[in-house]
Amino acid sequence: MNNVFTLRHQLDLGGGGSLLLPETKAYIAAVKAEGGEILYEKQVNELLKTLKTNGILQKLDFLYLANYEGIGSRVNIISPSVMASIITGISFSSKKGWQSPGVGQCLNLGYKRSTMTKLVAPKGSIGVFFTETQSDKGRIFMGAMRSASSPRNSLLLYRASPATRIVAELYRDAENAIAGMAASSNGYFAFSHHEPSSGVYAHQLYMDTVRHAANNTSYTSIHDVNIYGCAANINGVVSTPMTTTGRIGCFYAGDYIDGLGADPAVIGGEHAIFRSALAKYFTDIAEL
Amino acid sequence: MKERMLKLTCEQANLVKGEYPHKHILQPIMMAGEWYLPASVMDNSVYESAISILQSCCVVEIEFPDEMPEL
Repeated sequence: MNNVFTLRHQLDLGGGGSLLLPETKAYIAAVKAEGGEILYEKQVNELLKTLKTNGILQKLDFLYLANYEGIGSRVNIISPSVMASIITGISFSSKKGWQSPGVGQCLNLGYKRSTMTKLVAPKGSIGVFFTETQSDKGRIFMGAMRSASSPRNSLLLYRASPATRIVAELYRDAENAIAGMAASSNGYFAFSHHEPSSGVYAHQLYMDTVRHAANNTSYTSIHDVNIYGCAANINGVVSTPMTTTGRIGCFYAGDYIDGLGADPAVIGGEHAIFRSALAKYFTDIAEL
Repeated sequence: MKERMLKLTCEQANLVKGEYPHKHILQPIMMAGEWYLPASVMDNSVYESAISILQSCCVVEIEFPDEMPEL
């Protein structure tokens, strides 16, 4: 009976090592090696299981996920030997994620496009999940800089009261992909682009449950640039004033993630699965 | 948006710039020919080895525009 109880206990809490995915185990081991801790193993494992079952996990180059504490949440789940560095004091809030509390502070996610094996021209995806509502003047930046004078290829949420504006670009060069659009204040925020050989472009912004098709006439190839989170960082120098008042609980980038659904204005396909899985994860850990 | 910033000389910026424990990096920013860091870095014990230099810097308040710089 005791053995049965122990097994049930492990199943309920996710504490049984054999029940965890190899990816979850590798992530936890790397976090512990860095002196960190993953308190919500079961919830992390459930999220990864959902993403893996649906073929999404295999598409990612990096996935940073807010968990219990800041060290563990800086380990890239896809490549656990990679740990994001903190530039000039960005902060972490238990379970909720990362915040850039002042000018010039950001999280270096530690990747260059040239090192990515999944996000390869002419297709790819980048995204974040907000766990905390932005203030009217909050600014979120997630993306890649092409040059100091023209930091394109970015995923940017910008809110300035009374105006609200979104600019989101993956590997677009000549002009903003989307501008003048109402910004979502929290939830899922992602961008995917694909140029299939048929020439039918898929170039879309996802804000929580809504899918927005963007202008898609002038794309360029992916540039060799580093990718940062939470704030702007151009060619290795944090040079743009950025203050983020909300929290980002998840960063990811990788191959093209499909978002087509029956309703063209509603998020569908893999993006819908990704968004739902992240929403469930953050709901679950907040309930603990 | 007003921010409390440390104003550094070029020499101070070079001295504090670099890597700190737990993969933390201090990276002063250049604005209008001057070097700055957020004043909040002085509250983070990770940067303790640089605290004497940071404490010797002037604290200034800088008004940043609400509008996003043109990308």
